[in-house]
Parts: sequence; structure tokens; C-alpha cells
Amino acid sequence: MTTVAVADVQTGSHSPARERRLNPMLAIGLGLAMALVLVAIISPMVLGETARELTGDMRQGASSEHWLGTDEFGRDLFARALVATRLTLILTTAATAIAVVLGVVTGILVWMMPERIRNFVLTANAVAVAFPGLVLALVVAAILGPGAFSATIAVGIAGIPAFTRLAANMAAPIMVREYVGTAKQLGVPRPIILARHVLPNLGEPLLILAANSYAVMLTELSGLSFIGLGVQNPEYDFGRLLADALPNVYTQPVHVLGPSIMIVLTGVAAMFIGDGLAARSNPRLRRAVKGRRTGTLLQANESAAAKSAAENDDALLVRNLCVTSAAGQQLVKGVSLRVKKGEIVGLVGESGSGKSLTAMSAAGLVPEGVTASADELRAAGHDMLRHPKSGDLARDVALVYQDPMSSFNPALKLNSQLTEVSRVHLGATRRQARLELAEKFAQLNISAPERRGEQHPYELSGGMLQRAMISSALVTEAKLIVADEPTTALDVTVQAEVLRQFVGAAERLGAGVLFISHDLGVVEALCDRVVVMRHGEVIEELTCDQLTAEEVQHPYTQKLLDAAKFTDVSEETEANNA
Amino acid sequence: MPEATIEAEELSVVFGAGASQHQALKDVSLQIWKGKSVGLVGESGSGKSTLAKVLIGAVPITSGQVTVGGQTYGAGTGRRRRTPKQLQLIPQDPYSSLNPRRTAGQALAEALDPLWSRVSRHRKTIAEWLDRVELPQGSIDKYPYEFSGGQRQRIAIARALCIRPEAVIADEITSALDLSVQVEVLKLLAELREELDLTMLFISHDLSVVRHVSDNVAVLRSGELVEHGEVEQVFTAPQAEYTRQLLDSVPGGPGFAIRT
Amino acid sequence: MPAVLARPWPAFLLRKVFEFVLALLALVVLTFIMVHLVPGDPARVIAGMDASAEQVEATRGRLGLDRPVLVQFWDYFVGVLTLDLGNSWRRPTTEVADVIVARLPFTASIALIGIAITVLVSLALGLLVAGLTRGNRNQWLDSGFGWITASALALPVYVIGAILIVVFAVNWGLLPAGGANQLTSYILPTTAIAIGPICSMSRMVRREAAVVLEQDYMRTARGWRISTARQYSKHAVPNLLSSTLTLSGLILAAMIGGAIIVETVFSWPGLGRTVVESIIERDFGLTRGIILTIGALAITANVIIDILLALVDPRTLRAGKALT
Repeated sequence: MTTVAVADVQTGSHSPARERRLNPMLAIGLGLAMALVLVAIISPMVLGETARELTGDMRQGASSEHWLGTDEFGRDLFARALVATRLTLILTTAATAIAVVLGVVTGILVWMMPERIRNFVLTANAVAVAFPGLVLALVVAAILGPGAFSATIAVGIAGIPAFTRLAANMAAPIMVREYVGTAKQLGVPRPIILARHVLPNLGEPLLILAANSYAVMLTELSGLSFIGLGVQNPEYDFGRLLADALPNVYTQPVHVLGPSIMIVLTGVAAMFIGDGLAARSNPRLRRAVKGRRTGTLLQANESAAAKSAAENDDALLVRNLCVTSAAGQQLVKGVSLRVKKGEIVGLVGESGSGKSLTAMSAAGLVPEGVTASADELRAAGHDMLRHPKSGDLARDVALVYQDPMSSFNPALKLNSQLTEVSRVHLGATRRQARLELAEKFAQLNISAPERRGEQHPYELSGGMLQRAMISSALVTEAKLIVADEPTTALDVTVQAEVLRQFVGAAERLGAGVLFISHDLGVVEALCDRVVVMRHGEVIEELTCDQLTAEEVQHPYTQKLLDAAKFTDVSEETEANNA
Repeated sequence: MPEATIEAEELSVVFGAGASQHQALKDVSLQIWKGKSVGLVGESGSGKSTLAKVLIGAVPITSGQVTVGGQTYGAGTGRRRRTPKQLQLIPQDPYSSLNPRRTAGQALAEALDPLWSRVSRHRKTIAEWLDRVELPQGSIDKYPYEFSGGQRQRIAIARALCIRPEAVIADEITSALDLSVQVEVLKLLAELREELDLTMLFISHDLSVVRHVSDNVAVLRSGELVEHGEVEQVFTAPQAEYTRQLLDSVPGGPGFAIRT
Repeated sequence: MPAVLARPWPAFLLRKVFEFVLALLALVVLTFIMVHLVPGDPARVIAGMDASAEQVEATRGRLGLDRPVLVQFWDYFVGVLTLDLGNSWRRPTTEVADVIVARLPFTASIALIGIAITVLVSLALGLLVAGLTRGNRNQWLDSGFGWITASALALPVYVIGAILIVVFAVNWGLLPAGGANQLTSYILPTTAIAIGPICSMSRMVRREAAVVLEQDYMRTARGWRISTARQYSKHAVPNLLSSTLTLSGLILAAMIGGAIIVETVFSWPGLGRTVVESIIERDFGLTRGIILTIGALAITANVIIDILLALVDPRTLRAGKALT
């Protein structure tokens, strides 16, 4: 009752390719559970007599004859602890079955109801969930009177709302999947949709939850017995035994051992089965990363670095950049790049080409889980391989990301986010930083600039957010801007405007720009040079004029160009403009 | 006069009430003639997905009416169910359009046989359709995770077309795909359209992709229809200022000037 | 509808008040029905099995059970509104409200201290583990955390209590084993009821934090090259508060249950032990008074948590309840 079943549940994800092996936790859990079931079956037959037998040796401590001592009637406590397993398991299983079956049935059935009724039922259920389960159990116990039967019913009923909610919550994301929508449209009746599409996707998470809840129910039932509302003398379960032993804890502490250990073993078995199942259904890359920390930049070749130690004027210089995943896969294979001051270089490729990894690594932001190395890597004049000061980097290298809705922190106001660099690294006061930001907002044509900073990201449009992000580069007067598909998530009419502001800002700063895109049309209109990437390698470098004239060598670049031409509107519109 | 398979008349849809009221569609009138294809273009919030939902009966009509397959639906009857033969929707997201636990064959079987979804009974038809959308041999028994995004969309297309509906709505079916894959799927759809003489509403945020699969183009903005005409005419001589603006915003187009 | 109610906050508060009143009403009805659902005759139960028919009737008259049900309900309802919960059925001179006023502070104090400790420790622990195991680093910590919390979650509160008593009171004699006579008396009971919730909540925080730390906005924060401590405390924690608060409502409910049990272990003079005794004695007057009180407090706590949630994350104003 001090525990709330919170299982690692992922709905709707299913890949038969995942690991089906027993993991250690699951193996131990299942082994323990089997042993306990055996004890429950065998011990009452073998030790039943010993557990009942009244002897003259009362209230004894541990001895070779009575391993855990004897109680006030001289009964062997070791035998009693083992024999109690049967009743405890039977009651707990019954209570769990009540909660799971009734809870899941209600949780699924609410999806057969009209929306209004469903919302009402779920709201009422939410109140019931937040109501202490034990108090609900006390109500049932008060009605039916203390006893094993009423305790089982009480704990079972008290567990229903939690399962109703979990089943309903897990069904919710599946009900809005497009395949459910399609099935509805095809005229598949609701009960069949629930059986065909929803239930199969719930099976595993529910099993995990049931296992974890078993542990909770066990503690609740034993708890009721412990406080005197569950199993009554002469019958006994673990809770009853513990209640009898606890008053004498000062004189015979060994007496509490038997029932405590048995309760914990049973609970551990259930928890391990639940967690083990969860770990198996949700496999992460289980390969341990040894030695060096990932997410770091390494020097690949000392002598190569020494050669060009001289200062240079480039905004970005990358030589032989390699990025390797934790599993040892080569994601970027020896990429070299150069962006001069005031130059805009496009980095083009389809998904999985390694273009984003290249750009992020170049900016010194190697993602967790991968390792990057290079012969040389200089960004805005800083040698990235020699741990430049973070303040200098924050000032000189600005980043603009793909999806403005996700790259802004939803919980913080814009001011609080966009003034981080000025306040942390440049020593500006909160007020100064805000005024400065509002000024840059105005420069980028953001409406009501002085008010925007006090808003949360969800109150602004995507194009507005992206301009706000660019404005932070203006504040710090960045020397290198790395932009990762900054307009892909925006509407086309907004895209053009944001790109114009972006280019304007870069030109004002005289900064070099590394611009990642999958859209050759955008790149052609924006960039001085284009670098084409595929499978982690640079396959071609072109000037913008070469691109316009279609003077390309590599067939892959040609393929990209052809695809772009398929969606080209210029033929038609030329006539119009002419 | 040709017959309209899908028709919207003075269609309006209002969501919410009071201060949070939002008009998603405003007096939209649109006809899709039998065997023709209309490309519906609009940016986010333009109401194009709402229109699709109204046509399939997932969103109630506030005023006006729609006609689908000879049946007329109005303010009170907007959510009455359409028969699968009247209209099919091909959904947008390749990762949510297929149940991860059911094979490609089972997905198609559900369309052919909604109640029992028996693959064995329709195996020949299913195999034919999977072949028709250019999926490799043996795809019938494979699970969605064994297919790429483009292939999943082909399965979704086959599922929608295999029952030979009178009309289909394709809602942004290529927007989640890489450009080269997008082109292949569009080409396939254009071919199937010729072959099957499909009546189609093709929805996209991207003006340039609708050209290859549409006879007519309709442009929506903030719930209002700002332009409706033949493809060539809309592309060469757009009437609405907004359409011109859209055309100029297409990267690679002549109006697309970033650096001055 | 008045315009003011269309604004998010008034509309939200109105909805919450409505839910609150409805839940309290349901609770009053539930506790009233409870007595009438008892199999057999409550008056006979109270008067005793060997009481004469007259004695049973006299008891029935004393308890007011001879009047029509609706009249009884009305009296009970009015009593609740005026905070008069009647008298104990077993000890007619004892007022239920007096018992509750005397005992409630002891239960409320360990539950509140427990929830405060739980939230603070779980946030810190969960975030720390999530941070240290990012990108599959420190696998030993990953599995160690899993094994330890899973095992600790299998420990019932009374076993934890027993262990604490054996170790700290019996063996070392450091802390009192029972009673509420001194400040140190609070240490063992609050520890006992907090261990389980800390495990389940820190698991949740860790899982959520693992998701939050991989979000794009955390990469953005990294791009500003601010310290890891600032990244976590300023940019990650606010995004964890919603789910932490939501879960703490459930944890609080569980903790009230834990308090009831733990009071028996530590001979704690709170409501929990009283309600258990009243059920065993079948003193329905006292039982329903206490259950009503505990239930009302749980409902109130959850409304407060919902309001806090809306303050932390204004988006929940529209959505109603945050999903866990």
C-alpha cells in the first residue's frame, strides 16, 4: 500500500525481432515463483502436522530443532511460515484476478461508450484512483466484517480503478492510430476493432502491470491480516504470522524473520517478473560502452593536427571527421569541409546520410552514444579538439535547429531561454539581456517584440520561433551559424520569409554558415557552395553555378536533381512571369 | 453535364464555442467530377484535413452539405457512416497507418472482409494488389517493420484501392517521405489513377507535388477556397494573390528569391 | 455563459470545484450506505448476540436506525455539513469529531513529512541516475538501480517497520520503537512509509528524465554551452514537474494507506490505529467518521495537486487532467 504499480509500459511498439531471451531478472523472478508455488503445494502436506502441533517448548528462540523458534503455543515457526505460503498465494492471486479482470474489462468497455459518457466515467475513475486504496478496502472490511474473504474482495475491488485507468490510458493512443480510423471507415464493428487492434497491443503491458500489482496486492492483503482485518485465527497467512511475532520483537527478534522473508521473497518474485518482462519488451541497446565516455570529440591524428596549427581565417574547417556509434558502426566516414567567413555552404543529403551528425559534431555538440574524431576541427577560430572555453564557443557559434516546436523548451518563457548565453557567459544582467533580445526581435520583423519574450513557445507560430532562435545569434554576434534544416517544419510561404531573415542576419554579422537541407531548391537559392553527402561520405562538391547548370558528376546527385525537377514548377510559372 | 462523385456545397465547419470558437471551413463549395482528380493545397491551419474528415464523416457539419456517392449529408447527418465502397481515405503517417502486429496481407484482408479479415480466402486478390503497387514477392506475409516508409504507403494505397471504391482521398501521403521516395510514390499513384480511372482528392501542403496527380487544383486558406481551376491554368495564370504567393514560395521556382 | 467563465482559469477552477463537491458528495453517500450494507442488523451487532429483543430495539432507537432511511441520511448529511459526526456507537458519550481532532494531527504529520521527503529525494535520485546512464553509460548503475528498487518495492511497510525497529531500537537502542512522545519518534515511521514511494517515484522520474534529456530542447541548452548542473536544474526539472506532481497524488493516497498500517507497527496514536480498532469492534459511527475524514482529505489534496499542476504547466488548463 505504500507502493503504486508503475510499470515500464510501451504501447503499440512491436517488433518480433527483439530479444526473446530470458534476462537475469526475469529468470530469477520465474525461478522464485516456481519455488514458491512448489512450497505452497508441498509444505501443507509434509509440514502441516508440525505447524499445527502444540508442544511444550513455548516462545523459544532459534535452535536446531526449531530453526526459527516456536510461538506461544509451542508451534514450529519455520513450518508455519512455509505452510502459510498456500493461503497467501491463493488469496493474493484471487485479489489480483478480481482487479485485473474487472479493471481491464471496464477500461476497454469505456471505448465502446459515446465520448461524453466515457469522459464522465474516466473522470469519476480518476477520483477513485486518487482515493486511498486501503481506505476503500477498510470500507469493504467494515461492511463484511474482518476475515480472509472480505479482505480479498476488499483488496481486489480497491485495485479495480487503477487497472481501469491503465487499460483505458493504454488503449487511448491506439484508438487514435490511423489503422483504427481506417478500420472504422471500412465498417469493422467496434467490438471487433477492440479485439483485433487494441487488445493484442495491450497484452504485454498488462501482463507486466499485473505482475507488479501482484506484489502490491500481496503487501495490501498481508497488511490487512497484519492489522487484524484479514485472515483470522486459527488460519494464518504471512501477515497474520508477522502480527503475532511483532509484539515480542524485543525478546525474540528471530520470530519476525520467517514471515518477513517469505513476504519479501514472494514480492520480489512478482516484481522481478514484471520488471524482467518490461526490460524484455523494451530492449535498449544493451551493449555496454566501455572505456571512454561517449559523446566526445577526439584527436584522430596528432601529427596531422600539428601541421596546420597556424591560425586561419575560416569560419569552419573540418578535416577527416569520423563519427562512430556505440555499437561500432561508422556513421560518418572521413568528411572534410570548409566554410569561409561570410560564405554559405549547403550540406545536402537524404535521411540517414549523416549530414546532421556532421554538422553537430563540427559545432562541438556530439550526441550522446556516439564518438567523433577528426584530424582537425576549427569552428569560429577555436580548436575544437583542444577544449576551447565554453563561453567563447557559446558566443561565436550559433545553432538553429530543425523543428522550432521541439527545440524550444515548452516549460520556459522565451526570455528565460534565449538570454542564457548573454547571462551565463557574457555577464549581462537579466534586464540588459531582455532589452537586447527585444531589440533583435524587432530587427527580424517579429511583431510586438517587447511582449514576445514573456510568452511561452506554444503561444508563437513556428516561423516566429525560428526567427527568435536566429535573433540569439544576432545578440552574441556569432561568427559561425550552423543551421540544421531550419525551415523544413515550416509552411512554404513562411519558409521563404524566414530564409530571407536568416540570410540577412548572416550577412549583417559576416558569419560563415553551414546550412543543412534535403531540398536542392532551397540550397540553390541560398548557398555559395554545396556539399552532397550519402551514407556518411561526401560524394560531390559543387558551386552554386554548377548546380544551376546541372554540371554534376555523381549519379546520386543527378538522381536528387531529377527528383527535385519532378516537383519543379518553373516551366509553368515562367510562362506566367513572361 | 458530368456527374460529381464528391461535392461540397457552402460547407462550413465550426469547432468549439464561445471565445475559443474557431471556424475551420467557411462556405466551401467544391466538385470532384467522376474519374477526375482534384489537388487540394493549403498550409497548416487552412482546413484541408478538416475537409477530408468531413467527407469521410469523422467531423460534424455546421452548415451546408456534402454529397458522397450519391448520398447527401448535412448539418444533422454529417457523421453518418459512409459505405467503404463510396469513399476511402489513405492516411498520412506511414508509421501509424498499419497495425504493427498484423501482416500486409491481413491489412488488405481487413478491407476486403471487414468482419473476419481472412487472408486465405482473398489471397489471390491481395497478392495481385501488392504486386500492382510494386511491392516485392512474398510481401503478403511480412510485418510492417519489415517495410520502409515508402513501402508502407504503398500498402496503405493498395488497402484503400483493393475494394475498388468510387473515390479516394489521399491526405498528405508523401509528406513524411524522402524526396526521391516521394517521387516514386507519386508516379505510382499517377499510374494507378490512369489505369483505374479514379476519382480522387489529393491533399498536400506542397503545390508542386499535386501537379502530377491532379486534373484540377483547389487552394484553401484559413478555411476559405481562394482558387479553383484546371492545373495548367492555376500554375500558369493564378487568379488569387495567395496562389501566386504560394507559387513564388516553392523552392527552385523563379519567384523564389532569397538573396538580393 | 458569462464571459469570465470562458477564460481558462475561472473555467478551470469552476470545473475543479464542481468535481470536488461531487466527489465529497459521493463520499458522504458511500459512508452512509456502508452502514446499511452490513449483512444482518447493525443494531443487533451493536447490542450483542445474546441481547434481548427489547435491548436490540432500545439500541436501534438510540442509534436512530428506526427512522426512515431518507430521514437518517438527511440527519447524517446535515451533521456532516455542520461538522457534527455524531457519537461513537460503542461508547455513547464519546463524540466522533473529538476523537478525530485528537488523532488526525499524528496521521497527517507523518503523511505530509513522508510525501515531502519522497518528492525531493525521488526528483534528485531519478534525475541523477538518468543523467549518469545516458547513452548506455554506467550500465552497472542502470541495472543496480533496477534491482534495488524492484526488491525494495516488494518490502511491505510493516516489514520495513519491523526491520527498522529491530536495527535502530532493539539492537542499537538509538531511536524509540513506538509512541509519539518526542521528536525522534517521527524518524522511524516516516522512513518506513517513505521507502516504497521513493522507489516507485524515483523509477518514474528516472524514466521520464531519460526521455526529457533526449529532447531537442535539451540539445538546444547544450548548444548554449551552459553547465550540466544548469542544464538539468533549469531546463530539465520544469519538464519533470508535471508528471512528478501527478504521481505524487497517487503516492499520497498510497501513503495514507501506509500510515494506517505503520501506526500499528509503531504504536502511533493516529487515526489509522483508531479506525482499525473501530472496525474490529464494529463501531460503525466511529468508522464512518474517520473514513469520511481521510477520504475528504485525500480528495482535497488531489484538487490542490491539480491546481498546482495547472500553475506549473498552463497547458493542462485546457486539457483538464494531465495523463500520467
